[in-house]
Amino acid sequence: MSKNNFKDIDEKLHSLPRPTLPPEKKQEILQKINQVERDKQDNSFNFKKSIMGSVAGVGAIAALIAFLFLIGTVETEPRQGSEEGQHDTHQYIFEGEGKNWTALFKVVIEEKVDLEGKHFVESEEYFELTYKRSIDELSEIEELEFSFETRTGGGSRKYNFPEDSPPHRGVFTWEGESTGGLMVSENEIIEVNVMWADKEDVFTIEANQ
Amino acid sequence: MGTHIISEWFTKYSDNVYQYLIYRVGYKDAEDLAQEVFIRALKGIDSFQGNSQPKTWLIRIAQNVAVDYFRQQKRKHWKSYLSLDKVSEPCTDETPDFLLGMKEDNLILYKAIQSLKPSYKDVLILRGIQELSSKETAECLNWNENKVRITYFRAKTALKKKLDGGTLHEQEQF
Repeated sequence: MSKNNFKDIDEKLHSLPRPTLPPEKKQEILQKINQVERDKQDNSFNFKKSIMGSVAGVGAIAALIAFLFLIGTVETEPRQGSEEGQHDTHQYIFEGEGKNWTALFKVVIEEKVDLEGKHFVESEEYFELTYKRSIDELSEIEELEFSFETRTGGGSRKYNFPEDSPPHRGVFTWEGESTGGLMVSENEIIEVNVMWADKEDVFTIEANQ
Repeated sequence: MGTHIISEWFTKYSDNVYQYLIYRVGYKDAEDLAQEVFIRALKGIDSFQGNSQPKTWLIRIAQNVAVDYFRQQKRKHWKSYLSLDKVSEPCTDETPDFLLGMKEDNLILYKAIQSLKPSYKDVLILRGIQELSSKETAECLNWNENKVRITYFRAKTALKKKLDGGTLHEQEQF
């Protein structure tokens, strides 16, 4: 079909009406935008206020403890069941890159030992995969699958992209958490596997020292 | 800061976004979806890095809003189908003001565009109706310019077939 065959189609398309938003709706939307921004600021203000409150509270408690310690009335032995015991937090960030992708894996592990000596471990994990090249190269892909393996198991995710909904950004994520059992170790070398558009990238990530 | 920029962009580009939505999803929900676009833009303003023009960034958000809208409609449709409740039918009840104001030729053209698949609709609206350049259209749709040119050609071929007597009932996917 030649270009001339489309001349009338082009003209018809150009001549279609281009309606505008009614003024009252425009006004309504502008008010809504302002409202959303105000809510955002209020939330941020309340958050800051609560942080300031917490800081002030912690300061007051610290001052009180120091005072009690100085006058020798502080209890040095915790009362049975009145304290939570020891609490430690570890954070590891694993990073690495393959030919086409970079990956970041963040693990936050909380260890608690209660007064009876029981050991509790919880971890939160976040994995982020980023395409190193232009996002345009992903505009035709239909599927993308990635996985990574740690000694505790690891994670995987598969994306399907409908024809008119390709990925907007070259960033793909996974989140997980676990309780008890084995935890990710900072000495691990984690293997990452990415498959997309009949291509594959396999590489390892390691914790920052 | 965010509000100031979004309000400015709203003044400049709200009609472009609205026109895209009218032809993409129909008149009925276009106003509310236009609002959704600017709320999403406000919430995501930190991710705008100035690599694209504000107009194409907003139309890209509008495209996402339209895709979500059709998914939602599809879910609603399935729910009502499964519960044998015939409350929600697919969006066909256009507001007459918009359609009645159209010449008959335009009305046929509008309905023919509505019956095409989403990627064809997108490219016809942006390149054909809004007369964006291939570069701008590529930015809006996150395609490369070559894909814009090829898809626009195919979309016009499909549209011409419809107007020349093909069926006007191609299945909507998203």
